[in-house]
Order: sequence, then structure tokens, then C-alpha cells
Amino acid sequence: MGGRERGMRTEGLPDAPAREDAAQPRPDGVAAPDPRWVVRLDGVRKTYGRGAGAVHALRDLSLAFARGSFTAVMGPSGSGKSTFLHCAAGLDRPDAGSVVLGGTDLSTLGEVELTMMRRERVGFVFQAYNLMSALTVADNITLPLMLAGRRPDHQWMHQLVTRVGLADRMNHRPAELSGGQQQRVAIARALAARPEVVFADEPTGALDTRTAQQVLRLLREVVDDLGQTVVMVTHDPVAASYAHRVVFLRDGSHAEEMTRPTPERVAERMTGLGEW
Amino acid sequence: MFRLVVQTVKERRAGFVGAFVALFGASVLITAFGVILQSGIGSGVPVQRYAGAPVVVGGERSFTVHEGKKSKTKALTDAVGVPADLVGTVARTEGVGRAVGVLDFPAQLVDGKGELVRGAGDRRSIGTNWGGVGLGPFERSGQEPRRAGEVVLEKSVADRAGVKAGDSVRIASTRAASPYKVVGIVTYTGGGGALRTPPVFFTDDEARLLFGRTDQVSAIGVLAAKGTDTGRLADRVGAALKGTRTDVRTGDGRSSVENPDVATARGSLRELAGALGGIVILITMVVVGSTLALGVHQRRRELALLRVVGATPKQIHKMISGETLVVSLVASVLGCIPGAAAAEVLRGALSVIGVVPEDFEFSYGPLPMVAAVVIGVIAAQVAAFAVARRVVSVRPVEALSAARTEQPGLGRARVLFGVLLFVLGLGAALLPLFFGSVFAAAGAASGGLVMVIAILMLAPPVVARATRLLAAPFQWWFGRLGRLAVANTRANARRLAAGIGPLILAIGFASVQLFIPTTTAGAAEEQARAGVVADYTVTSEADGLPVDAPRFIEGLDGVESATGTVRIDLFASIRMLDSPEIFKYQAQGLTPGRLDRLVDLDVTEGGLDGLSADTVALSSAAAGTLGAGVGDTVRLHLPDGQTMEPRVVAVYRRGLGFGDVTLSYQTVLQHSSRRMYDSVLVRAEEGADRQRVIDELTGLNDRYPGVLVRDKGGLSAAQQRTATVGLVGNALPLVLVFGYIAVAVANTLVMTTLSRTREFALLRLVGATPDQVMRMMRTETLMVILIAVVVGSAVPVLPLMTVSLGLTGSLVPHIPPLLYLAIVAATSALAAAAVLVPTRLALRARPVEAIGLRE
Repeated sequence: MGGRERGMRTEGLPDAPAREDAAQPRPDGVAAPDPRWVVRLDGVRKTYGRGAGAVHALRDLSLAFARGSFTAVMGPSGSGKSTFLHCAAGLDRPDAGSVVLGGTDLSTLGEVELTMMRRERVGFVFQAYNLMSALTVADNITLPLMLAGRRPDHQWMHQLVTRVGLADRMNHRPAELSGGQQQRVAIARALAARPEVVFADEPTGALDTRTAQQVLRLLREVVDDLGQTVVMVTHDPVAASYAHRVVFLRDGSHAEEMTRPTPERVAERMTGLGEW
Repeated sequence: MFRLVVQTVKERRAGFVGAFVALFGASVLITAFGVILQSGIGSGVPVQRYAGAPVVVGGERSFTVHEGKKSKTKALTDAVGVPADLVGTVARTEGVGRAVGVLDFPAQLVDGKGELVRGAGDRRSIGTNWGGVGLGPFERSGQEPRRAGEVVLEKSVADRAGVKAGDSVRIASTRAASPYKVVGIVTYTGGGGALRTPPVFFTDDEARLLFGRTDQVSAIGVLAAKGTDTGRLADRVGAALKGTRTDVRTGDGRSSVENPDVATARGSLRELAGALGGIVILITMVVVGSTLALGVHQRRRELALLRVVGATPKQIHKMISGETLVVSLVASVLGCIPGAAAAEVLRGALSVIGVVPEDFEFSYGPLPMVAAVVIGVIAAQVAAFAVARRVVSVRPVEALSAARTEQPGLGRARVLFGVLLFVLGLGAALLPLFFGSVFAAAGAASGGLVMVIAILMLAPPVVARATRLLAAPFQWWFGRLGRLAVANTRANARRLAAGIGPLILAIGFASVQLFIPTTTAGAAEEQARAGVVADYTVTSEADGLPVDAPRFIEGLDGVESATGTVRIDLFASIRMLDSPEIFKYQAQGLTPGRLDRLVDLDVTEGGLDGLSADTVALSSAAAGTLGAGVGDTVRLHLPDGQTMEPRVVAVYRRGLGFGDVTLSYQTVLQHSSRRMYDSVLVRAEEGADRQRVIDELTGLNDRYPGVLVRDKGGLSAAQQRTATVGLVGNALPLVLVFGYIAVAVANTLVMTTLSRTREFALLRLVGATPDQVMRMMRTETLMVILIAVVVGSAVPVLPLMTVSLGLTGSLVPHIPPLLYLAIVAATSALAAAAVLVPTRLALRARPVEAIGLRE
């Protein structure tokens, strides 16, 4: 509710500059479905605070993510990575610009519709695994389905738990698992509803190198084998190297990008961006 | 170390709010009850009529029972007179200028319409002898009474009645109302506001006649000879009266001689504070303990971390104890003032129902506040020690990993202690099955409270079991959100128990404390209804009905028989384990005669015909407690402190309705300050014209102004009203305790709910709408309430049954359904609000922000 108000207020500001694509005709704010892009941000701006203390977290950011792609979003701290993730996933509303997810312009949705949209189409993986400690592994995985009132597809569940390697842990509580296992549960949960896109926020931040590699490999596999789309925010060049493409942000806008990344090249580019 | 502690408390203020609230409330409660206790010892109202006499001698308002080497002293509840010959003794004492024997007795003016006149502020006037006028600061005008038919009025009464010197008035006193001539007016010039008891002065002879006995005076006022200071005078009078049953009083202490009702109120306050004081302290300790434990439980991760980085167990102990000290000191000190305010509110309420006179003032010395702070700090330290012990009992690394989840097990000591308490409580609750004495019933009542507290200690396993039972129906009934709620409750039994515990306490405590008096009152009402076989009851708005009333009424047309009754409190003592044990009883005095035509006490042994000046009848409960049967003698201590050993002539069942001890009216008259009957029971002649009898009885108003006539059912209605007042009087102070428990309920539930902000955010991130989270929480709350209501209602059932058996002889306690529903509804509404409002607030935060919060 707060987001919508904030958005409207900022849109009304007189100094809002005209955007390139603002001239393009869009029928009633609904973008024409483009099958190639699962998520598309156009001229997204987000400012926190006002006046002299205002922080421009995103400035005219335009990015698109193709179906079946694994993209890493990198940047020095303060570059707007988290804000980007929140806007792209419909957790926060941009002040200007549009976010189209699976053919729906998120700015047209109310808070409840946004929640519905998220649980149908978006999966999340957080740095701290964020599992419900009261629920078993199985219940944690099917939680989004349960909330949506959908029956879990048993074949898919079986495939999922086998792939994440937790078939024998289904009745355990999260506290009985290691960090890597918990993160794999979180990935399975993100995939359970067969979302259009999975957003991962520093998914390996709390893991040791070996466990981190297992988790990253798993993410890459779900993209390559299952055709899932994954957008991962990270500051770790090694983690980024598992992606198809790396997008670099600086000062809230798109700086550059790189395909077929290696840890060395990513690290080099990050150094070039000034900080990390 | 201390800097770190203060820092932590300052930084994490929110984390200590719970403990603060619990301790603050404890301080309010303890201060309030401390004030009540202190006021029971202090003076209450200022000295007025005796303000001019530096020393006042009253009857000793306590008695002592000796048994071997041991002795026990108990306060008497009613006014006690002074032997009349002591007036001379005092007068002859050195330093005494003049000694005046004061005679106080009921006397009220009657206006032209036959209605009683009150003084300023609706005060009742009092009849007294002219000799006493010199004891107070009175300004006289007109003449003094010289003949039997002359009186002098205090101005406030004269003004109310609209009479002046020279007028004629009718005065209702201890005899039939009769006319007097007003020969003078006195004006009270002293302090303390309007006179509490504006006097109507009669000549000394007339006063003695109306007072009803010549061997006693109400008090002796002592005026000093020139040059004798008060302390000296009091010492000398005290020495002269050594060995007599008298009390020599000076200063504010004189007020309790002048106002026996105030002394009685003080006795009730002491009794009240004594009865509830222990419970209050117990409950505050339990609440403070569980709240502190919950607070530390919520910080267990941080504490585990501290230990990992090298804090020794001793340092953890020190830290928790230090934090608790800071919080408990601040909270207890801040709670003192509202505590005094709460006492004042309670005073107002108690005066409305007449437990204390309306001008009774509480004394607000510092002592109760100091006690509140000391008790609060000690209770908190004890709780902190127990909590810290539990924190350090786990190894640090284990602690860190266990910190994220619940530890299902309770400390062994706690389980052991809880089970022990429960068994003890259960044992006490079963006592009335084996013993008929009032001890057993009292023991069973405390047993009920102990059982409730034991369940509180055992709450986690009890709640875990209950949730397991409820899991299936809830999942079936509430679908997928029900499943989530069940999973939450089952995985967090400890958190849940912290919330349910105070709820169980609220319902259990209220049940025990309220349903025992309702059971007694219910049985009393039932017995009174069944036991009165008279057709009419005559009572009076004045202080009673004169002693000649029963005979006069018997002489009326259509009346077959009549008997006067009077209710007093008296004591009985027995020897128990080589020391004396004293019991307080309600007693009734009856005029012996054709009692069988008027009351049916359900006599099981002997008969009331034998009732005389040296015999007594006992209820079966009293007979059981005192171990006496027909033919035995019992030791009674009468309202004037005298001991008598009458022979038991009858044992009857209806003790609750009529009093546990029945004496002849002669005995009561001789040994109490009562001069009048409370009521006269009347039986009409067979076939008499009912309406005419009623007309005759209401016509008594001319002779006894203020009479009220009720038919048989009316008596129980009247008694019911008295019983209700008693019930409310018992329950009123409990309101403070209930309030505190309510605060504890809300406090813990808000604490546990707010600690789940992160969990709510997570749920929303994986797709739950705020509505779904609310629904889940509603389901959980329903479960919480259900468990609390079932457990809280079930635990007191057995003790209530046995108490009922002990008090009324029936296993079925009298539980007014509406009262029970009110308890359950109030507790449930409170619990629902305490969970759902914070949930709603927590849901207002954006989930991405909330999830970043510390665990």
C-alpha cells in the first residue's frame, strides 16, 4: 500500500524527465507479451528519502532477462543490486518506469494481486535460508503451493527433491540440516510452484566454498536441464561465473555486461568498476 | 560489566519492555495491598466528638486464649464497652481533672412523615449523655437538658430536621419512638469536616435508660488537671487500669473508640490484606518469573553468542542479574505511585458497598512502597538466577545451534517441582473427603490455587500434549492454514506455553476465587429459604428494632408468635497440638420461645428448646471443627472479649443460612454492644386475614420509625442482598489481581507475537497474503484459547467440588453460568486482542524489510 502511494507521489514531481520509451504507445499500461523476455525493466527509477538526503538507488535502469537464462547481477555495494531485485520481483514498487514479469505490468497490480503473482510466478532464494523452523523439509518445499491452495504435483516433487538431493531428508526439521542442505531446500521451495523466474539474493553468502559450489551447480542445472530462468544477485565473482551472463550495475544504472564469464574476468571488471 | 549491562538495557529497550511491564504491575499490586494492610493498622478517620479529651479509655478490642505455655490473640470485630465502675477509678487517678463515662446508643430524629432524619452528608446521628459534651469542641447555645424529656441537638441534625430550640421532636432510639423537647443546640467547631456521628444529647439518667445497662459505659473520656501533659496522664491512667480489659488511647488512636465502625472496617482491611497478601506475592512471583524467562528465551541466540566469544557462566549470571536489577528497580519505583492510586480507587469501591465507611481514609506512608520495591527486586533476582542457570547449563556451541529451534525438554528440576506441587495441591484438595472441619475446606481451596500454579509450571508438556490432541480436528476443520497453525503450535510448544500459562492462571484463579464464595452464598441462600418458616420478617432502616418489639408484635391482632434475631461475630477456640486455635463464626441470637414455628434450622441432634443463657446450638460444620456434640461444652469468646463455656443442646444443618452458632438473645445482649434486634420473625395465626396482619405490621412505623415488612420470600431476598454485598466485597480487591493477571496475559502474548515478525515476513515472501497470515494466527489463537479454557476450567473442578462438600455438604458447587461465561469471554477476548493486534501491526512492515530483522 505504501509503495503505490510513494510511486504516485514521485510521478507527480515536476522535474521527472521524459523517458525514451515513454513515447512508445502502450495500451492501458499492459505491455505486449514478448515471449523472449520473462522479466523486463524499462527506465526504472527508485529514490529513497527526499531533498538533499535523497538516495537514488536506481536511475533509469532498463534490463531484460530471457527465458531459460541464468543471469548474475553484480556491482559494488550501493550500486542498487538489492533495490533492483526487489523491484524486479514485485517486492517493492519503482517510482518510475515499468517492470513486466511474464507479460504482466506489475504497476497495474494491487498488493494482494502482487502477492498472488509472486506465489504463482516467482521463486525466491535468500542468503539466510529463511525456512520455517516449525515445518518439515517437505512442508517447507510445498509451502508456496499450500498457500496458493494448489495440490503438489507428485512427479514434479519427486523430481525436484531427487535433484536437490534431499529425498531422504523430507521429514527432518530445518534445524537438523547443514547450511548447504537448508539452502537446497530453499531452492526446491523456490522451484516448487514452477515459477517463471527464480530470484536469488546472495544465495551462497553464508556457505563455505565447497557447499557454495554445489548450490551454484544446482542452480545452473535447473536452468540448463529444466529450462528455468534464474536471476542471481551476488558480489562473488566465482558465483557469478556460473551464470550465462553477468550484468554489472553502477550507481543504480546498467554499466556493462559480459557473457561466458570466468571468475578472473569478472573480478577484473569489478576492480574496473572501482570498488567491491 | 555494569556499563555493558546498562548499555544493553538501553540499546535493547524493546526486549525488556515485557519484564518491565510485569514488574511494574507487580509493584502497583503490592503497593496497593500494602496500603490496604497499612490502613488496617492506621487510624482512618479523625477524632471529633472526643477531640477535647486528651486521653480516652475504651474496651480492649482483642482477646487472648492461653493453652499451656502458648497463647493466641485475636482482634474483636465489634465495639467493646468499659465497666462503669472504672469511671470512678480513673477519676481518682492523679493528674485527672475529670473522667466522663460516655454512653453511646442509636438515636435518630423522626420527621413529620415518620421518616428518619440524617445529619450532614447523610450521617446517622447517635444518642449520648449530656456529660460527654465537655469532651468535644462544641459551641453551646440555649440550655442543657435537665428533665428526661429534654434533648440538645447538634446543629447539622437540627438543620436537617428543620427544628430549633424550643421545638418538639420525635426521636427513635432503643425504645419506641417518643417526643422530646429541644432545649438547646450545640455546634461542632472542631476539624475533620462534618461530624461523622452528630450527637443527640439526653440527660445522663435518660441516656442510661436508653443505653440499656448500668454496669457499662461506651468509653471514658479523661480531661487532664491543669499542668499534666498527655503522655504522663495516659501512663497514670494506664497504671490505674492495669489488669482490666481496657485500652488507653491518645492522639489519633482515640478515633477508634469514638468510631467503632472504623475499627471494624480496619479489621476487615487487615483480614482482606492477610487473606490476599500471600496470593498476591505468589502470583507476582510466578508472572515475573515466567516473563523474565520468556524474555531471555527470546534472546538466547545473543546469549549463546556471548558464551561462544568467551563469557563465563559467572559473567552470564552477572549480566542477567544486572539487567534484571536495573529493570526491576526502575519498574518497581515507577509502579509505586499508580499503586497508591489503585488503592484509592479500591477504597472508593469498598466504601460504595459499605465495607469501609465512606469517609475512611487510607494511610499512604512510604512503607508499602518500600515493600513493593524490595519484593519486586527480590522476586526478579530469584527469577533471573533460575533463568541464567538454565542458560549456562547448555554448552555454548550446542546453545548456538539449539538457539534457532525450540528445546522441547523442560528442566528436570522444574518438572519435578511442578509435579510435586500438583500432587501436594491435589492432596490438599482431597482433604474435605476425610475431614469435616473448616480447615479441610480452606486447605482444599488453597490446594486448588496450588494446582493451578503447578499446571503453570508444567505448561510446556501439557500444552504439547494438548496440541497433539487438537492437531487432527484443527487440520480437518481449518484446512491448509490449520495445518500451518498446528505445525507452528506443535513446533513451538514452549513459546505457546508461555502465552497459555497466564491464560490458564487467569481462568483457574478466577474460578477458585469466585466460585467458592458463590457456592457458599448459594448454599446460604438455599438454606435461608428453606429454613425460614415464619410468614413475615420485620426489619428497620434505623439501627435495629427495640428489644420490646417481639413482645409488642406478638400482641398484634392475627399474630401467633414472633422472635427477634440478631447477628454477631464471635469466636470459638480449641486446643490443637498443645496450642490454641481460634475460629471466627457468624452467630445468631434468638429469643427463646416457639422457635419451631418460625425457623427450621434442620436440627439433627438435640433440640432448640433447651436454648438458654448458658447453652448453645451449633451447626454441624462448627460441631465438626470444634469436635463437640450434644452434651459437650465448647469454649466461646463473645464480642466483648468474655469467655463462656456453654453446653451444646442442639446440632443443626443450616449453618450457612443462619450462622454457625445459635445463642439465646440474652447472652448476646449481655456480651455485645448490641441493644437492638436486626429483625423480628413473625408467624400469623392460622386463618388470620393476611392483609390485616400486613397492615398491622406496617402500622408499626409509628412506634418504630423506619420499619420494613417483608413476606417470607422477602427475607431471603434481603439476605441475598447482604450476601451479594459480601460477595462483591470479597471480589472487589480481587479485581486488582485479575487486572494484573490480564496485564500478564496481554504482555506475554504480545511479546511472543511480536517476536514472530520475521516469520510473518517469510510467509509473505513465499506467497502468503496478509489475510492468510491473519487467518493462520486466528486459528492459532483459537487453539490457544481452547487449551487455556479447557485446562483452566478443568483444574479447579475437583477442589471446587471438595470445598463445596466441606462447606455445604454437597459435591456440586454453585457456579453462576453467566459469571463463568464472563470469565471465559473476557479472557478469550483479551487473548485474541493481544495476539491479533500485534500481528496486524507486524504485517504493516514491508516483508523485505522485516525479514532483514534480527532473529
